Amino acid sequence: MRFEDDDTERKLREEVGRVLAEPDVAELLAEVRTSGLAEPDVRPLYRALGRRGLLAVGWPVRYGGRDAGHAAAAAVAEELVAAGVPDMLHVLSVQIVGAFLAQAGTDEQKERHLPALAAGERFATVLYTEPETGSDLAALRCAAVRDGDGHRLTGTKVWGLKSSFSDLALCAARTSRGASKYDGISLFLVDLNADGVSVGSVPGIADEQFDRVELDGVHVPAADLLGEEDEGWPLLNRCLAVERTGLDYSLKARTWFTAALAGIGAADDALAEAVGRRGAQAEAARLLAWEVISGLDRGEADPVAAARAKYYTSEAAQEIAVWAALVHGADYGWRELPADAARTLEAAYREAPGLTLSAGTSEMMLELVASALPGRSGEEAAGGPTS
Amino acid sequence: MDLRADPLVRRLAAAVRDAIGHNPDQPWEALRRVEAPALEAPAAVGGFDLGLTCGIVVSAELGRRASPDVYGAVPMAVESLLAADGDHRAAAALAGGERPVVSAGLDAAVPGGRPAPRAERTAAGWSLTGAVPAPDGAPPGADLCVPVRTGEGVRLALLPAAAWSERAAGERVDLAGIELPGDALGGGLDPADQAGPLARARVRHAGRLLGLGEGALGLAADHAAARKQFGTALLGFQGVAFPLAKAEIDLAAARLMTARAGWLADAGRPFGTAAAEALALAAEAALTAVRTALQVHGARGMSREAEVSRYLPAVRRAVAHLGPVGALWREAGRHRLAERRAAEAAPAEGE
Repeated sequence: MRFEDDDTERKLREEVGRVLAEPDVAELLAEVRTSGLAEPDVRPLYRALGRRGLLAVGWPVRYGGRDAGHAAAAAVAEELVAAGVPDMLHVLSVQIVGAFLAQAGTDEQKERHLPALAAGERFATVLYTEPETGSDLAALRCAAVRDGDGHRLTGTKVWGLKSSFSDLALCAARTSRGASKYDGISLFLVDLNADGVSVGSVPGIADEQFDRVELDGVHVPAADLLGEEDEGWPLLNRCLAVERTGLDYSLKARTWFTAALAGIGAADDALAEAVGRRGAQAEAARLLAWEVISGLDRGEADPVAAARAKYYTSEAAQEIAVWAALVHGADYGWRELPADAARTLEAAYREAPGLTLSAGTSEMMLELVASALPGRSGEEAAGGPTS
Repeated sequence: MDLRADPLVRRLAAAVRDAIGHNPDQPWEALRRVEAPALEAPAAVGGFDLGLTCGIVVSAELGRRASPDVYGAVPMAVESLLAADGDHRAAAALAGGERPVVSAGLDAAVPGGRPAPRAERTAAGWSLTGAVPAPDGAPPGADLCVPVRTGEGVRLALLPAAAWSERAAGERVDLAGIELPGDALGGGLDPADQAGPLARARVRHAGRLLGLGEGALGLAADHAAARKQFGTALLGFQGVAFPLAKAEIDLAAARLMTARAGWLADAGRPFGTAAAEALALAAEAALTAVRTALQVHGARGMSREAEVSRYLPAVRRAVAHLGPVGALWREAGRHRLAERRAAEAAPAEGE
């Protein structure tokens, strides 16, 4: 085990610092941070980062990356978030859809899509959930009907994010009805500018608004079917483990904990104890995420470790956001909290309920972890106490 | 970072586990067989100098079987004796496994713990007063480490078996009248010493707590998979499965924090706060895991025949072994606040 950066990670962190200090990038970041908008358009900033090769360092060089691996990509993500770069569009576009394509796409699909995503020229999101389909994703109704050499998709997708900033979407739809509801699901890359796509929103309490995307006979060419037709379910499950490193949630936990400390001067025993607990929680969340990331770099996507990390990191971030409200008051005015920290924590409190729902609810994660429990008696736990 | 499992650590864990085998109540000879007493000790006293990471493994494997802690006092006594430039022969004997050593009353060294026994200087050495709790499961002939308050703060005293074993009465060991030679006291046990024997003991002991939690959880998971109620395995009920899963996740978090503290110590980095956080997390995770495991076993878990029943008294002693958990959290919290203030002040100073 190594609880410090290797040379690649360290150099990349330094490079991110240098790039963010370059005048044009610094100006774009300042615009995002001072826009006053609940959901500023981060695409110009991402393009600037993409031009400098920082959006997808883990991907192969031929697809716009640097072949640096998952850990290196995580180091870059940590530095960007620490500097105040909003990460949701990056998480969706690069860490989820791009990573999915890199795993499951054909060479042609990768050539066509990944370089643009890595450069920040195009952006992607996911269209999984539906009004009547939450955790039970296999119950989805969105229909994909054969049409010539492609399919036409019809259905409603909700609770996604960033569709209005995205050019394409990874969409799950039903292509047939098999013996099981897990049969007959297929995955498509949908052009969000295609005829028949309408993007709206579901007004919500968080800064980032939920999407409502209507698909009305949207034509998707055969070239944009991901994997084999009707066999999307196992692909989806395999790739969800890549999505669930918990890194983005652990970064929220750390950001929000740091913001909460900004207004705390002297602490009585009770407050010092709470600070100790929340600090350790944020630290442990980071380690659990990095445990999954370390596994990915050796080609092992462990769905149980991923579920463990997703559960702990999202619960930790949520608890820290709620704790910050208790410490600083409903208007974050009980202490000398700087205005930017107060804004961060106020938004965090409204965002926090979604963390334990998105990318698999906490209850689903507990199901996954529980299913792997038997057979441990007399054996070391996963990885052992010092693995 | 690379948090992949270390194969050598896994092999060490398996070796210790196999050695303990079917005799979890008397594990000293098993530890001797795998030369565990020498693992952390420096080469100068015949040890292998393999670091705190190995100590965590041994402690965890003893905890996993709810075995008495016959390991933790060995490296602590060796470190303490060497730090004080005390009796090197005694340190070498301990590292060589020539005789066992256990500890008692270590919570006296930390804020919120019991009052420490006292050691007064005499012409020949030291004279002790006070008492400590009787150590649990001490092997025959074991030396005893206890913290004693001296004019120079709290130090670790090493009591030969002959000096203390006759004085154990019920749950206490009366130290009054024990006379020790001048080199029998080790270095200071200052909780503010962020890299001293106490900080290292915290990391090792976090390993023990993790083992206790994981051992109990393993028994509970197997029971929940085998035992049927209402025609379904207990694990099929979310009301049973979810608390077990939560306990497993909290233990995993504490496991990584403990490994990190050990790694930092072995790399020569500051690890005091990491040690306090690891111990506090491990203590709470272990206690919850054991309580959950008892609940899942039902009434049969409270019978002495049930393996899981051994974990309940063991975890209570282990949680309190190095002082109140709340004190650890307060220490860690104040350190984080100080770090934050230092970070805020740094740019201003540079301007």
